[in-house]
Amino acid sequence: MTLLEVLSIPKDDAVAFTFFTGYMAMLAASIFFFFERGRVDGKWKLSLLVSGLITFIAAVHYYYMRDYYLATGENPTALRYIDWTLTVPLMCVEFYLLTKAAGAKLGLLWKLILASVWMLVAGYIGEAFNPGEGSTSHSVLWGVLSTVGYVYILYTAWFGEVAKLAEASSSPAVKRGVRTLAWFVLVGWAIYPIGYMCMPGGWLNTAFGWGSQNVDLFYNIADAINKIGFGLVVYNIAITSSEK
Amino acid sequence: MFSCPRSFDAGAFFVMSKAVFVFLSAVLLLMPLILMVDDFTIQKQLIFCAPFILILGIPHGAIDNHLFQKENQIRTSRFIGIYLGVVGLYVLVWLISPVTAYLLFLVLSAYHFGQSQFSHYFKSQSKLKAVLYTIWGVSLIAGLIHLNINEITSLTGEFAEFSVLQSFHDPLLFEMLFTGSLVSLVVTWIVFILYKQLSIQQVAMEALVLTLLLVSFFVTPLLIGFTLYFIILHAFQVMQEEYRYLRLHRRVNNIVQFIKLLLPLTISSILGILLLLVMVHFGLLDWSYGYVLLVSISAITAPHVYVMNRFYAFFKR
Repeated sequence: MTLLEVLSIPKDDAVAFTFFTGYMAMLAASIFFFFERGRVDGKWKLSLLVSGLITFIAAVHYYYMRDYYLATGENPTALRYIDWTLTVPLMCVEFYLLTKAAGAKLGLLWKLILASVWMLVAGYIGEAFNPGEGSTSHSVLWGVLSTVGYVYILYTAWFGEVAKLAEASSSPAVKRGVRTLAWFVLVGWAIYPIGYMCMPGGWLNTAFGWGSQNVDLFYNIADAINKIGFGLVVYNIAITSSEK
Repeated sequence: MFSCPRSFDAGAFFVMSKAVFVFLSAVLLLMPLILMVDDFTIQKQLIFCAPFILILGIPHGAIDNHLFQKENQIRTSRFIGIYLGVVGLYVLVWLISPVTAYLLFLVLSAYHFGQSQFSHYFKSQSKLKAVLYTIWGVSLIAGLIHLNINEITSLTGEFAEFSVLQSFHDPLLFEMLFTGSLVSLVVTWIVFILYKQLSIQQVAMEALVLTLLLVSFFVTPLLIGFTLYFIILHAFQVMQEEYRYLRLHRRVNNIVQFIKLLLPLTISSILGILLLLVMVHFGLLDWSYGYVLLVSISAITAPHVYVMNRFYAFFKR
Protein backbone atom coordinates (compact mmCIF):
# COMPACT_ATOMS: atom_id res chain seq x y z
CA MET A 1 0.00 0.00 0.00
CA THR A 2 1.31 3.48 -0.82
CA LEU A 3 0.30 6.83 0.58
CA LEU A 4 -2.15 7.39 -2.30
CA GLU A 5 -4.12 4.37 -1.20
CA VAL A 6 -4.39 5.50 2.40
CA LEU A 7 -7.97 6.60 2.90
CA SER A 8 -7.59 8.45 6.16
CA ILE A 9 -5.31 8.96 9.10
CA PRO A 10 -7.28 8.79 12.34
CA LYS A 11 -7.06 12.15 14.12
CA ASP A 12 -6.42 10.53 17.46
CA ASP A 13 -3.76 8.13 16.24
CA ALA A 14 -0.56 9.52 17.73
CA VAL A 15 1.48 6.63 16.33
CA ALA A 16 0.43 7.36 12.75
CA PHE A 17 1.07 11.05 13.35
CA THR A 18 4.61 10.40 14.58
CA PHE A 19 5.29 8.05 11.67
CA PHE A 20 4.41 10.80 9.19
CA THR A 21 6.20 13.62 11.03
CA GLY A 22 9.16 11.33 11.70
CA TYR A 23 9.43 10.54 8.01
CA MET A 24 9.32 14.20 6.95
CA ALA A 25 11.70 15.32 9.70
CA MET A 26 14.26 12.63 8.77
CA LEU A 27 14.02 13.53 5.09
CA ALA A 28 14.36 17.26 5.78
CA ALA A 29 17.34 16.60 8.08
CA SER A 30 19.02 14.51 5.37
CA ILE A 31 18.65 17.27 2.79
CA PHE A 32 19.99 19.77 5.32
CA PHE A 33 23.07 17.67 6.16
CA PHE A 34 23.83 16.90 2.51
CA PHE A 35 23.59 20.56 1.51
CA GLU A 36 25.50 21.89 4.51
CA ARG A 37 28.30 19.41 3.80
CA GLY A 38 29.65 21.91 1.31
CA ARG A 39 30.09 24.61 3.98
CA VAL A 40 32.37 22.72 6.36
CA ASP A 41 36.10 21.97 6.24
CA GLY A 42 37.23 18.86 4.39
CA LYS A 43 37.93 16.87 7.57
CA TRP A 44 34.27 17.20 8.61
CA LYS A 45 32.68 16.28 5.31
CA LEU A 46 32.66 12.56 6.01
CA SER A 47 31.03 13.11 9.41
CA LEU A 48 28.25 15.16 7.84
CA LEU A 49 27.81 12.59 5.10
CA VAL A 50 27.34 9.91 7.76
CA SER A 51 24.84 12.15 9.60
CA GLY A 52 22.92 12.58 6.35
CA LEU A 53 23.03 8.85 5.65
CA ILE A 54 21.66 8.04 9.12
CA THR A 55 18.63 10.27 8.68
CA PHE A 56 18.18 9.29 5.02
CA ILE A 57 18.19 5.55 5.77
CA ALA A 58 15.72 6.23 8.58
CA ALA A 59 13.52 8.34 6.27
CA VAL A 60 13.28 5.52 3.73
CA HIS A 61 12.36 3.03 6.44
CA TYR A 62 9.84 5.42 7.95
CA TYR A 63 8.25 5.74 4.50
CA TYR A 64 7.61 1.99 4.52
CA MET A 65 6.82 1.74 8.22
CA ARG A 66 4.09 4.38 8.19
CA ASP A 67 2.33 2.56 5.32
CA TYR A 68 2.77 -0.80 6.98
CA TYR A 69 1.34 0.56 10.20
CA LEU A 70 -1.65 2.22 8.50
CA ALA A 71 -2.42 -0.87 6.45
CA THR A 72 -2.10 -3.45 9.22
CA GLY A 73 -2.24 -1.51 12.52
CA GLU A 74 0.68 -3.65 13.67
CA ASN A 75 4.19 -2.83 14.83
CA PRO A 76 6.60 -2.90 11.89
CA THR A 77 9.19 -4.71 14.02
CA ALA A 78 11.26 -6.20 11.19
CA LEU A 79 11.48 -2.90 9.28
CA ARG A 80 12.33 -1.10 12.50
CA TYR A 81 15.24 -3.38 13.28
CA ILE A 82 16.52 -3.33 9.69
CA ASP A 83 16.64 0.45 10.02
CA TRP A 84 18.45 0.30 13.38
CA THR A 85 20.90 -2.37 12.19
CA LEU A 86 22.09 0.15 9.61
CA THR A 87 21.79 3.43 11.48
CA VAL A 88 22.98 2.59 15.02
CA PRO A 89 26.40 1.31 13.87
CA LEU A 90 26.63 4.49 11.79
CA MET A 91 26.13 6.50 14.97
CA CYS A 92 29.09 4.60 16.40
CA VAL A 93 31.02 5.60 13.27
CA GLU A 94 30.27 9.21 14.22
CA PHE A 95 31.93 8.71 17.61
CA TYR A 96 34.95 7.24 15.85
CA LEU A 97 35.19 10.01 13.27
CA LEU A 98 34.91 12.72 15.91
CA THR A 99 37.70 11.26 18.03
CA LYS A 100 39.88 10.11 15.12
CA ALA A 101 41.86 13.33 15.14
CA ALA A 102 42.65 12.71 18.83
CA GLY A 103 44.07 9.28 18.01
CA ALA A 104 41.08 6.92 17.91
CA LYS A 105 42.05 3.52 16.51
CA LEU A 106 39.97 1.35 14.20
CA GLY A 107 39.59 -1.12 17.10
CA LEU A 108 37.38 1.40 18.91
CA LEU A 109 35.04 1.52 15.92
CA TRP A 110 34.74 -2.27 15.80
CA LYS A 111 34.13 -2.55 19.55
CA LEU A 112 31.35 0.01 19.34
CA ILE A 113 29.83 -1.66 16.27
CA LEU A 114 29.92 -5.08 17.96
CA ALA A 115 28.29 -3.68 21.09
CA SER A 116 25.56 -1.99 19.04
CA VAL A 117 24.92 -5.16 17.01
CA TRP A 118 24.72 -7.19 20.24
CA MET A 119 22.25 -4.65 21.64
CA LEU A 120 20.08 -4.79 18.51
CA VAL A 121 20.14 -8.56 17.96
CA ALA A 122 19.16 -9.23 21.58
CA GLY A 123 16.44 -6.56 21.36
CA TYR A 124 15.15 -8.07 18.11
CA ILE A 125 14.93 -11.58 19.55
CA GLY A 126 13.17 -10.12 22.61
CA GLU A 127 10.62 -8.36 20.46
CA ALA A 128 10.14 -10.45 17.34
CA PHE A 129 10.10 -13.83 19.04
CA ASN A 130 7.94 -12.80 21.95
CA PRO A 131 5.22 -15.49 22.36
CA GLY A 132 1.75 -14.44 21.19
CA GLU A 133 0.29 -13.43 24.53
CA GLY A 134 3.57 -11.95 25.67
CA SER A 135 6.08 -13.50 28.02
CA THR A 136 7.61 -11.43 30.80
CA SER A 137 10.56 -13.78 31.29
CA HIS A 138 11.36 -13.72 27.56
CA SER A 139 11.05 -9.94 27.42
CA VAL A 140 13.17 -9.42 30.55
CA LEU A 141 15.89 -11.90 29.59
CA TRP A 142 16.51 -10.45 26.13
CA GLY A 143 15.96 -6.92 27.39
CA VAL A 144 18.68 -7.36 30.00
CA LEU A 145 21.05 -8.96 27.47
CA SER A 146 20.43 -6.08 25.09
CA THR A 147 21.10 -3.61 27.91
CA VAL A 148 24.58 -5.09 28.38
CA GLY A 149 25.50 -3.74 24.93
CA TYR A 150 23.96 -0.38 25.76
CA VAL A 151 25.85 -0.15 29.06
CA TYR A 152 29.12 -0.87 27.25
CA ILE A 153 28.51 1.97 24.76
CA LEU A 154 27.44 4.24 27.63
CA TYR A 155 30.66 3.45 29.49
CA THR A 156 32.79 4.07 26.42
CA ALA A 157 31.10 7.41 25.81
CA TRP A 158 31.36 8.64 29.42
CA PHE A 159 34.47 7.01 30.86
CA GLY A 160 36.08 4.78 28.25
CA GLU A 161 38.07 5.36 25.11
CA VAL A 162 35.74 7.91 23.51
CA ALA A 163 35.65 10.06 26.66
CA LYS A 164 39.42 9.88 27.15
CA LEU A 165 40.13 10.73 23.52
CA ALA A 166 37.73 13.65 23.61
CA GLU A 167 39.33 14.91 26.82
CA ALA A 168 42.74 14.66 25.18
CA SER A 169 41.52 16.50 22.09
CA SER A 170 42.79 20.03 21.59
CA SER A 171 39.48 21.13 20.09
CA PRO A 172 36.94 22.53 22.58
CA ALA A 173 34.22 21.92 19.96
CA VAL A 174 35.05 18.19 19.86
CA LYS A 175 35.12 18.00 23.68
CA ARG A 176 31.76 19.71 23.96
CA GLY A 177 30.31 17.75 21.05
CA VAL A 178 31.33 14.33 22.32
CA ARG A 179 29.97 15.23 25.75
CA THR A 180 26.65 16.16 24.16
CA LEU A 181 26.61 12.90 22.21
CA ALA A 182 27.30 11.05 25.47
CA TRP A 183 24.19 12.74 26.87
CA PHE A 184 22.25 11.54 23.84
CA VAL A 185 23.35 7.99 24.58
CA LEU A 186 22.42 8.38 28.24
CA VAL A 187 19.04 10.07 27.91
CA GLY A 188 17.97 9.74 24.27
CA TRP A 189 18.80 6.07 23.90
CA ALA A 190 17.13 5.35 27.24
CA ILE A 191 13.75 6.15 25.64
CA TYR A 192 13.92 2.92 23.61
CA PRO A 193 13.64 0.58 26.63
CA ILE A 194 10.45 2.41 27.62
CA GLY A 195 8.96 1.43 24.26
CA TYR A 196 10.34 -2.10 24.58
CA MET A 197 8.64 -2.52 27.97
CA CYS A 198 5.25 -1.67 26.39
CA MET A 199 5.12 -4.83 24.25
CA PRO A 200 2.89 -7.68 25.48
CA GLY A 201 4.50 -9.20 28.57
CA GLY A 202 6.72 -6.16 29.05
CA TRP A 203 6.77 -4.57 32.48
CA LEU A 204 4.92 -1.36 31.51
CA ASN A 205 2.38 -3.51 29.65
CA THR A 206 1.65 -5.81 32.57
CA ALA A 207 2.02 -3.31 35.44
CA PHE A 208 0.31 -0.25 33.94
CA GLY A 209 -1.54 -1.69 30.94
CA TRP A 210 0.38 0.42 28.44
CA GLY A 211 -0.63 -1.03 25.07
CA SER A 212 1.70 -2.32 22.40
CA GLN A 213 0.86 0.68 20.17
CA ASN A 214 3.02 2.70 22.59
CA VAL A 215 6.04 0.70 21.45
CA ASP A 216 6.05 2.59 18.16
CA LEU A 217 5.14 5.89 19.76
CA PHE A 218 8.22 5.81 22.01
CA TYR A 219 10.45 4.44 19.25
CA ASN A 220 9.37 7.19 16.86
CA ILE A 221 9.96 9.92 19.43
CA ALA A 222 13.35 8.43 20.36
CA ASP A 223 14.38 8.08 16.70
CA ALA A 224 13.53 11.70 15.94
CA ILE A 225 15.47 12.95 18.97
CA ASN A 226 18.48 10.72 18.54
CA LYS A 227 19.00 10.54 14.80
CA ILE A 228 18.34 14.19 14.00
CA GLY A 229 19.80 15.41 17.29
CA PHE A 230 22.95 13.32 16.84
CA GLY A 231 23.39 14.78 13.36
CA LEU A 232 22.83 18.33 14.56
CA VAL A 233 25.49 17.95 17.25
CA VAL A 234 27.96 16.71 14.64
CA TYR A 235 26.94 19.57 12.35
CA ASN A 236 27.50 22.06 15.17
CA ILE A 237 31.00 20.71 15.85
CA ALA A 238 31.82 20.80 12.15
CA ILE A 239 30.53 24.30 11.49
CA THR A 240 32.09 25.72 14.70
CA SER A 241 35.48 24.24 13.85
CA SER A 242 35.25 25.34 10.23
CA GLU A 243 34.43 28.95 11.06
CA LYS A 244 37.71 29.42 12.98
CA MET B 1 37.17 0.24 40.56
CA PHE B 2 39.17 3.03 42.16
CA SER B 3 40.81 5.69 40.09
CA CYS B 4 43.99 7.59 40.77
CA PRO B 5 43.77 10.81 42.76
CA ARG B 6 42.48 13.63 40.63
CA SER B 7 41.40 17.17 41.28
CA PHE B 8 37.74 17.86 41.78
CA ASP B 9 37.17 19.87 38.65
CA ALA B 10 39.13 17.44 36.55
CA GLY B 11 37.79 17.09 33.08
CA ALA B 12 34.57 17.88 31.35
CA PHE B 13 33.28 14.39 31.96
CA PHE B 14 33.22 14.68 35.73
CA VAL B 15 29.47 15.37 35.69
CA MET B 16 28.97 11.63 35.90
CA SER B 17 30.89 9.85 38.64
CA LYS B 18 31.73 6.17 38.38
CA ALA B 19 29.32 5.50 41.24
CA VAL B 20 26.52 7.10 39.21
CA PHE B 21 27.46 4.96 36.21
CA VAL B 22 27.45 1.78 38.29
CA PHE B 23 24.09 2.79 39.75
CA LEU B 24 22.59 3.44 36.30
CA SER B 25 23.87 0.10 35.06
CA ALA B 26 22.61 -1.74 38.15
CA VAL B 27 19.16 -0.17 37.85
CA LEU B 28 18.95 -1.06 34.17
CA LEU B 29 20.29 -4.60 34.54
CA LEU B 30 18.98 -5.68 37.95
CA MET B 31 15.63 -3.94 38.23
CA PRO B 32 13.93 -5.99 35.48
CA LEU B 33 15.10 -9.20 37.18
CA ILE B 34 13.93 -8.03 40.62
CA LEU B 35 10.54 -7.15 39.12
CA MET B 36 10.08 -10.78 38.15
CA VAL B 37 10.34 -11.99 41.74
CA ASP B 38 6.90 -12.32 43.28
CA ASP B 39 6.11 -11.93 46.95
CA PHE B 40 9.32 -10.31 48.16
CA THR B 41 8.55 -10.36 51.90
CA ILE B 42 10.57 -8.21 54.29
CA GLN B 43 12.33 -11.34 55.56
CA LYS B 44 13.39 -12.31 52.03
CA GLN B 45 14.51 -8.74 51.42
CA LEU B 46 16.56 -8.79 54.60
CA ILE B 47 18.26 -12.06 53.62
CA PHE B 48 19.02 -10.61 50.19
CA CYS B 49 20.15 -7.15 51.34
CA ALA B 50 21.86 -7.74 54.70
CA PRO B 51 25.03 -9.31 53.22
CA PHE B 52 25.45 -6.34 50.87
CA ILE B 53 24.88 -3.82 53.64
CA LEU B 54 27.19 -5.64 56.05
CA ILE B 55 29.99 -6.43 53.60
CA LEU B 56 29.90 -3.34 51.41
CA GLY B 57 27.99 -0.77 53.46
CA ILE B 58 29.73 -1.07 56.82
CA PRO B 59 33.31 -0.68 55.46
CA HIS B 60 32.62 2.86 54.25
CA GLY B 61 32.45 3.92 57.90
CA ALA B 62 35.17 1.57 59.10
CA ILE B 63 38.04 4.00 58.74
CA ASP B 64 36.43 6.88 60.57
CA ASN B 65 39.32 6.73 63.06
CA HIS B 66 41.95 7.14 60.34
CA LEU B 67 40.05 9.95 58.63
CA PHE B 68 39.52 11.84 61.87
CA GLN B 69 42.97 11.27 63.31
CA LYS B 70 44.64 12.43 60.13
CA GLU B 71 43.57 16.00 60.86
CA ASN B 72 43.10 15.89 64.63
CA GLN B 73 45.60 15.11 67.37
CA ILE B 74 43.73 12.41 69.24
CA ARG B 75 44.78 8.99 70.46
CA THR B 76 43.07 5.94 68.92
CA SER B 77 41.84 4.67 72.29
CA ARG B 78 40.32 8.07 73.11
CA PHE B 79 38.71 8.30 69.67
CA ILE B 80 37.17 4.83 69.96
CA GLY B 81 36.03 5.60 73.51
CA ILE B 82 34.21 8.77 72.42
CA TYR B 83 32.85 7.01 69.30
CA LEU B 84 31.41 4.13 71.31
CA GLY B 85 30.16 6.58 73.93
CA VAL B 86 28.09 8.38 71.28
CA VAL B 87 26.83 5.02 69.98
CA GLY B 88 25.79 4.07 73.54
CA LEU B 89 24.09 7.41 74.09
CA TYR B 90 22.16 6.96 70.88
CA VAL B 91 20.94 3.53 71.95
CA LEU B 92 19.83 5.18 75.18
CA VAL B 93 17.77 7.69 73.18
CA TRP B 94 16.14 4.74 71.38
CA LEU B 95 15.20 3.25 74.75
CA ILE B 96 13.81 6.51 76.15
CA SER B 97 12.16 7.97 73.04
CA PRO B 98 12.16 5.82 69.90
CA VAL B 99 10.38 8.50 67.85
CA THR B 100 13.06 11.09 68.71
CA ALA B 101 15.83 8.62 67.89
CA TYR B 102 14.15 7.68 64.63
CA LEU B 103 13.51 11.29 63.62
CA LEU B 104 17.09 12.27 64.43
CA PHE B 105 18.33 9.29 62.43
CA LEU B 106 16.32 10.38 59.41
CA VAL B 107 17.55 13.99 59.61
CA LEU B 108 21.21 13.00 60.12
CA SER B 109 20.96 10.49 57.29
CA ALA B 110 19.34 13.05 55.00
CA TYR B 111 22.21 15.49 55.55
CA HIS B 112 24.84 12.79 55.25
CA PHE B 113 23.40 11.28 52.06
CA GLY B 114 23.12 14.73 50.49
CA GLN B 115 26.68 15.59 51.49
CA SER B 116 28.12 12.46 49.93
CA GLN B 117 26.05 13.03 46.80
CA PHE B 118 27.16 16.61 46.16
CA SER B 119 30.38 17.30 48.00
CA HIS B 120 32.59 16.23 45.09
CA TYR B 121 31.28 19.19 43.13
CA PHE B 122 32.49 21.74 45.70
CA LYS B 123 35.89 22.83 46.94
CA SER B 124 34.57 24.13 50.26
CA GLN B 125 31.61 23.61 52.57
CA SER B 126 29.10 26.30 53.52
CA LYS B 127 25.70 26.73 55.15
CA LEU B 128 23.98 27.09 51.79
CA LYS B 129 25.53 23.83 50.67
CA ALA B 130 24.40 22.19 53.90
CA VAL B 131 20.88 23.30 52.98
CA LEU B 132 21.22 21.63 49.58
CA TYR B 133 22.52 18.43 51.18
CA THR B 134 19.65 18.30 53.63
CA ILE B 135 16.93 19.06 51.10
CA TRP B 136 18.28 16.43 48.70
CA GLY B 137 18.49 13.90 51.51
CA VAL B 138 14.97 14.71 52.71
CA SER B 139 13.67 14.28 49.13
CA LEU B 140 15.36 10.91 48.98
CA ILE B 141 14.18 9.62 52.35
CA ALA B 142 10.68 11.12 52.07
CA GLY B 143 10.48 9.56 48.59
CA LEU B 144 11.57 6.18 49.92
CA ILE B 145 8.94 6.27 52.66
CA HIS B 146 6.17 7.84 50.56
CA LEU B 147 6.62 5.43 47.66
CA ASN B 148 6.67 2.42 50.00
CA ILE B 149 4.19 3.65 52.57
CA ASN B 150 1.99 0.55 52.38
CA GLU B 151 4.93 -1.77 52.99
CA ILE B 152 6.17 0.40 55.86
CA THR B 153 2.71 0.59 57.45
CA SER B 154 2.26 -3.17 57.33
CA LEU B 155 5.80 -3.66 58.64
CA THR B 156 5.33 -1.32 61.59
CA GLY B 157 2.03 -3.03 62.31
CA GLU B 158 3.56 -6.49 62.16
CA PHE B 159 6.27 -6.04 64.79
CA ALA B 160 5.52 -4.74 68.27
CA GLU B 161 8.66 -2.60 68.57
CA PHE B 162 7.84 -0.70 65.40
CA SER B 163 4.34 0.16 66.58
CA VAL B 164 5.61 3.31 68.33
CA LEU B 165 6.81 4.54 64.96
CA GLN B 166 3.52 3.76 63.24
CA SER B 167 1.88 7.11 63.98
CA PHE B 168 4.90 8.87 62.55
CA HIS B 169 4.41 7.28 59.13
CA ASP B 170 1.33 9.26 58.21
CA PRO B 171 0.78 8.90 54.43
CA LEU B 172 -0.42 12.49 54.03
CA LEU B 173 2.52 13.87 56.02
CA PHE B 174 5.04 12.06 53.83
CA GLU B 175 3.22 12.95 50.64
CA MET B 176 3.45 16.61 51.60
CA LEU B 177 7.04 16.27 52.77
CA PHE B 178 8.02 14.51 49.55
CA THR B 179 6.32 17.08 47.31
CA GLY B 180 7.57 20.02 49.36
CA SER B 181 11.16 18.76 49.42
CA LEU B 182 11.14 18.12 45.67
CA VAL B 183 9.90 21.65 44.97
CA SER B 184 12.49 23.07 47.40
CA LEU B 185 15.20 21.01 45.75
CA VAL B 186 14.35 22.36 42.30
CA VAL B 187 14.44 25.93 43.66
CA THR B 188 17.77 25.24 45.41
CA TRP B 189 19.25 23.78 42.24
CA ILE B 190 18.17 26.89 40.30
CA VAL B 191 19.83 29.11 42.94
CA PHE B 192 23.04 27.07 42.69
CA ILE B 193 23.00 27.37 38.90
CA LEU B 194 22.39 31.12 39.06
CA TYR B 195 25.26 31.58 41.53
CA LYS B 196 27.45 29.32 39.36
CA GLN B 197 27.97 26.80 42.13
CA LEU B 198 26.69 24.01 39.91
CA SER B 199 26.55 23.79 36.13
CA ILE B 200 23.36 22.98 34.22
CA GLN B 201 24.91 19.66 33.19
CA GLN B 202 25.68 18.73 36.79
CA VAL B 203 22.14 19.57 37.86
CA ALA B 204 20.72 17.67 34.88
CA MET B 205 22.75 14.62 35.89
CA GLU B 206 21.62 14.90 39.51
CA ALA B 207 17.99 15.30 38.41
CA LEU B 208 18.33 12.18 36.29
CA VAL B 209 19.91 10.23 39.14
CA LEU B 210 17.22 11.32 41.60
CA THR B 211 14.50 10.40 39.09
CA LEU B 212 16.03 6.95 38.67
CA LEU B 213 16.33 6.58 42.43
CA LEU B 214 12.68 7.42 42.90
CA VAL B 215 11.66 5.07 40.09
CA SER B 216 13.68 2.28 41.71
CA PHE B 217 12.05 3.05 45.09
CA PHE B 218 8.64 2.88 43.41
CA VAL B 219 9.08 -0.34 41.49
CA THR B 220 11.22 -2.36 43.89
CA PRO B 221 10.44 -3.40 47.47
CA LEU B 222 11.52 -1.06 50.27
CA LEU B 223 14.83 -2.64 51.26
CA ILE B 224 15.88 -3.58 47.73
CA GLY B 225 15.47 -0.01 46.48
CA PHE B 226 17.26 1.41 49.49
CA THR B 227 20.12 -1.10 49.28
CA LEU B 228 20.67 -0.32 45.60
CA TYR B 229 21.07 3.33 46.55
CA PHE B 230 22.98 2.83 49.77
CA ILE B 231 25.57 0.41 48.45
CA ILE B 232 26.30 1.93 45.08
CA LEU B 233 25.59 5.62 45.25
CA HIS B 234 26.50 6.17 48.87
CA ALA B 235 28.97 3.60 50.26
CA PHE B 236 30.83 3.04 46.98
CA GLN B 237 31.09 6.77 46.32
CA VAL B 238 32.28 7.55 49.85
CA MET B 239 34.86 4.75 49.75
CA GLN B 240 36.21 6.11 46.47
CA GLU B 241 36.68 9.51 48.10
CA GLU B 242 38.23 8.02 51.23
CA TYR B 243 40.66 6.03 49.12
CA ARG B 244 41.57 9.08 47.07
CA TYR B 245 42.14 11.12 50.23
CA LEU B 246 44.29 8.48 51.92
CA ARG B 247 46.32 7.98 48.76
CA LEU B 248 46.82 11.69 48.42
CA HIS B 249 48.16 11.78 52.00
CA ARG B 250 50.34 8.71 51.37
CA ARG B 251 48.49 6.75 54.04
CA VAL B 252 47.82 3.95 51.54
CA ASN B 253 49.49 3.21 48.24
CA ASN B 254 47.17 0.67 46.72
CA ILE B 255 43.80 -0.95 47.02
CA VAL B 256 45.09 -3.91 49.07
CA GLN B 257 46.43 -1.58 51.76
CA PHE B 258 43.13 0.26 51.74
CA ILE B 259 41.19 -2.98 52.25
CA LYS B 260 43.55 -3.94 55.10
CA LEU B 261 42.81 -0.60 56.71
CA LEU B 262 39.07 -1.21 56.42
CA LEU B 263 39.13 -4.75 57.79
CA PRO B 264 39.55 -4.41 61.61
CA LEU B 265 36.56 -2.15 62.28
CA THR B 266 34.47 -3.76 59.54
CA ILE B 267 34.92 -7.18 61.11
CA SER B 268 34.34 -5.78 64.64
CA SER B 269 31.13 -4.04 63.52
CA ILE B 270 29.81 -7.11 61.71
CA LEU B 271 30.63 -9.31 64.71
CA GLY B 272 28.94 -6.79 67.03
CA ILE B 273 25.77 -6.78 64.92
CA LEU B 274 25.85 -10.58 64.59
CA LEU B 275 26.18 -10.85 68.37
CA LEU B 276 23.06 -8.73 68.77
CA LEU B 277 21.22 -10.89 66.22
CA VAL B 278 22.31 -14.06 68.06
CA MET B 279 21.02 -12.52 71.30
CA VAL B 280 17.67 -11.95 69.57
CA HIS B 281 17.70 -15.51 68.28
CA PHE B 282 18.19 -16.97 71.74
CA GLY B 283 15.68 -14.62 73.33
CA LEU B 284 18.29 -12.63 75.29
CA LEU B 285 17.14 -9.47 73.57
CA ASP B 286 13.41 -8.98 73.19
CA TRP B 287 13.50 -7.13 69.86
CA SER B 288 12.91 -8.26 66.30
CA TYR B 289 15.86 -8.65 63.89
CA GLY B 290 14.74 -5.67 61.84
CA TYR B 291 14.49 -3.42 64.89
CA VAL B 292 17.96 -4.45 66.11
CA LEU B 293 19.39 -3.60 62.67
CA LEU B 294 17.61 -0.24 62.65
CA VAL B 295 18.82 0.70 66.15
CA SER B 296 22.40 -0.44 65.59
CA ILE B 297 22.73 1.20 62.17
CA SER B 298 21.26 4.47 63.45
CA ALA B 299 23.57 4.39 66.49
CA ILE B 300 26.64 3.95 64.26
CA THR B 301 25.36 6.64 61.90
CA ALA B 302 25.42 9.43 64.51
CA PRO B 303 29.24 9.62 65.09
CA HIS B 304 29.91 8.63 61.46
CA VAL B 305 28.00 11.67 60.17
CA TYR B 306 30.10 13.96 62.39
CA VAL B 307 33.39 12.41 61.26
CA MET B 308 32.38 12.54 57.60
CA ASN B 309 31.34 16.16 57.92
CA ARG B 310 34.85 16.97 59.21
CA PHE B 311 36.36 14.75 56.54
CA TYR B 312 34.64 16.62 53.70
CA ALA B 313 35.76 19.95 55.18
CA PHE B 314 39.41 18.76 55.34
CA PHE B 315 39.25 16.84 52.09
CA LYS B 316 38.60 19.92 50.02
CA ARG B 317 41.27 22.10 51.58
